[in-house]
Amino acid sequence: MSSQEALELEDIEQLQPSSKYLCFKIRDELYGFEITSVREIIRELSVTRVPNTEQWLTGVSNLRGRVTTIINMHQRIGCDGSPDASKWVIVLELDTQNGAATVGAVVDCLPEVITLTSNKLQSRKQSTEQSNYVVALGKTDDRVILILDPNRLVFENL
Amino acid sequence: MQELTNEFSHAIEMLEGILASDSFAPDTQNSLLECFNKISHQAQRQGFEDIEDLCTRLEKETHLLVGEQNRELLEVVHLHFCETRDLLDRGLGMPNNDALAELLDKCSDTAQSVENDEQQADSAVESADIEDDPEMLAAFANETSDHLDNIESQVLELDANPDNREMLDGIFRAFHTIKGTSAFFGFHGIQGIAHEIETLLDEVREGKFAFSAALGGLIFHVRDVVSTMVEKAVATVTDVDCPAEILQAVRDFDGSSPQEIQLSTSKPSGPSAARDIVKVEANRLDSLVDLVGELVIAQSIVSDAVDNLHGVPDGLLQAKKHLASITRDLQTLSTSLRMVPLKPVFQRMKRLVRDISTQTGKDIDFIVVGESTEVDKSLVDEIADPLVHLIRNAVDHGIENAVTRQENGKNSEGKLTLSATQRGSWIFIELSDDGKGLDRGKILSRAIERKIVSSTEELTEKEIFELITRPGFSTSEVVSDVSGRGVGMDVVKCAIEKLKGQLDITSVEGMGTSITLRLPLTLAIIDGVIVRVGSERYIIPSSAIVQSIPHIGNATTTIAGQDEVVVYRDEAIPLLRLAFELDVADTNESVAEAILVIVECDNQRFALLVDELLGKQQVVIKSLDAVLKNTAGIAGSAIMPDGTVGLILDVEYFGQSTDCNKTGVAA
Repeated sequence: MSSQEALELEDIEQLQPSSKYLCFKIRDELYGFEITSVREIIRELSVTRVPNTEQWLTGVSNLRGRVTTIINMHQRIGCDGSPDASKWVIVLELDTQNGAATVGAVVDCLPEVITLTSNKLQSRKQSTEQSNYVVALGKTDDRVILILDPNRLVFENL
Repeated sequence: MQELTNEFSHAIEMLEGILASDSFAPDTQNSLLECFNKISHQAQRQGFEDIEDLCTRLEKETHLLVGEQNRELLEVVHLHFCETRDLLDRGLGMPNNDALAELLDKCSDTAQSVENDEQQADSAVESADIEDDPEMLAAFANETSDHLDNIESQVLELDANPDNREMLDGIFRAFHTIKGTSAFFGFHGIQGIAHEIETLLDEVREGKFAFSAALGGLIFHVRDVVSTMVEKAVATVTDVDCPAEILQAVRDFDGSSPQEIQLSTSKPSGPSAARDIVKVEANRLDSLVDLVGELVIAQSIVSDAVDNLHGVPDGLLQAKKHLASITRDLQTLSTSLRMVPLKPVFQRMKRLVRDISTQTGKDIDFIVVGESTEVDKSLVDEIADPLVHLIRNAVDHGIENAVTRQENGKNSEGKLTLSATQRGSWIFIELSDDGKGLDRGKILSRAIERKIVSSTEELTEKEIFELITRPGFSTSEVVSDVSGRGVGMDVVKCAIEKLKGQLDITSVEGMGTSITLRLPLTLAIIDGVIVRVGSERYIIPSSAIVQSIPHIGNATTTIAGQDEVVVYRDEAIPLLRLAFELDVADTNESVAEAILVIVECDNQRFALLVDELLGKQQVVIKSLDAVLKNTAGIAGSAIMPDGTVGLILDVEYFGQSTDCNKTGVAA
């Protein structure tokens, strides 16, 4: 294979439609949100607990004058315990049937942005099981990224 | 042919109604006019020129028929119509019109002079009436111009998509509202043309002919004419006559022939003078309020930081003070931007009731409660139109005339109550009358007749009442110029739903009807008491609190070992431990220092046990988002002065939970 051909292959690779994902680790699993649904990443806010709700619904915070629902990703994904002390909040914009909503997802490591071309993505068959919020699997190098649907993450099994 | 005889039957019924009663309802003239109008249209289509001529004549001189002294003429017209109907039935044409025409001539001559005097007197009174309220005129101009803008875009939409029923209904409603409001101001010219176009549009709705480009053009012409007329009417504060050619064009329109209308009036000239109000998108205002809230917090942080410095130069101290005062002013201003009392709207309603009361000759005792209730500005803007419709309906159709009321053992003066209250995160606006109530049978049969429901469906009382809010529904036999086409309730429901509110109708036949509008409080300020429960803070709306007393020294007991009650002023009231209800772990087990907050809701008192009262605070209510909106026990949230979020308790919810306990015990 000449170097000429290799270059062309790379070109083809670049022509594939690609999207960026904001990825974070929970235990050893890597999860990601499509970057278009992420508004910003901030350090943890002070949270007011809301009674009579799911465990993983941590409460509400004041995000620049806007009352924002905060969810704990560790508890939501099904791992016990809360994340470590230094926390980050991924602020997600949701477009729901009941209008737009802003939700903060708390994770315990600084998320990173990973670009995936569409041929590295594999959408996931929906099952009746609980983890329907994982809508696709992405592959990069030696890692697998579980792509999350923010709407399902927040509203499913409420 | 059948249609024409039907119209005749309708007219004869109406004439008989007038002949049978001694009094003339003020809308009689308009309904007669409409009736003649329909007949002449039908006759024209089917080529009965004689009938057409006669009815056009009658249409012009309807006023002659309703005067007290003209019974004779009325009887002649009645007889003549009966004969005509019989002849039509047998397919024989029309009896001789001459006798009737002669009589009409005579009556019109004698009436002319009297009529003129009266009209002059009338218009003088009306214009004087309007002049005293320039604010309302400006509101009218703004509102109408909004409606006209909507009509324009809706016609354009219909042009592209002629089957769009929603757009057609929208145009119809817009003209209906313009008709109603201009009638209210005594602008009869505008009212007249709006009425005509409405009649035409109604025919389109009934499917007599389809929407066409020609009709769109006509609506545009009417829109422009109305726009000019409104400008002129508002500027001169007098009734403006509608150009006859456009009135005629609307009446003659039959759906097929594209026609050119020569307009003598010029095109609307530039922007109207009434637009000195800036309308701002609501979410931009919201962002402003949010940002100012953040500014207040940032300012207090800077303030604290400066206070903790040593050797602060005077200049900085002064700047700090200045910043604090500007921030405070800005906060007051930004919160007041959106909140306004309902008073101006209710004031308008008072006047409306007075006017309809004189129009219909019904005495109304109008009671207004809670007009100082503050609501979001957007709510005030949107609530006025639906209220106008509701009040018109209540007075026009709900409250009976004095004679009927006395026969039914009621006070001859009708009672109409308009009240506003804030409960939880909702504003309730209730309009109740002590009139004849809704007739379930009549509603149902009309709905079946109009094919809104099928006759086999079984409906609950609530569902039946709801039918009156469907488009195209009306049980009123008489279409008047203020209400009765059945678009009223449709408009009301649309407007309320747009505000994400609800409309509830309750009615007892013979006793009255009550319509409740339940509207969400997207942004409102309440006085709240901040309480501590364990490590958490909550806000209890002050309006619900009766008193707070130390818990110690109050006798408490349990019912069936479960529900606690506390004796307060010789009354045993249910006790709710908030720590338990809200699942707060680290509360004081010993109740020695605890406080009882006695609250009242739905005429029921109960006590909430909290650990401490932290103070009073005015807070801006923020609804929780879609995820947490329906959380039990929480009505909303607010940003506290320290920048964290405080939760506002839903007292109504706790009241219901004590209710459940009670019934549980009883069972």
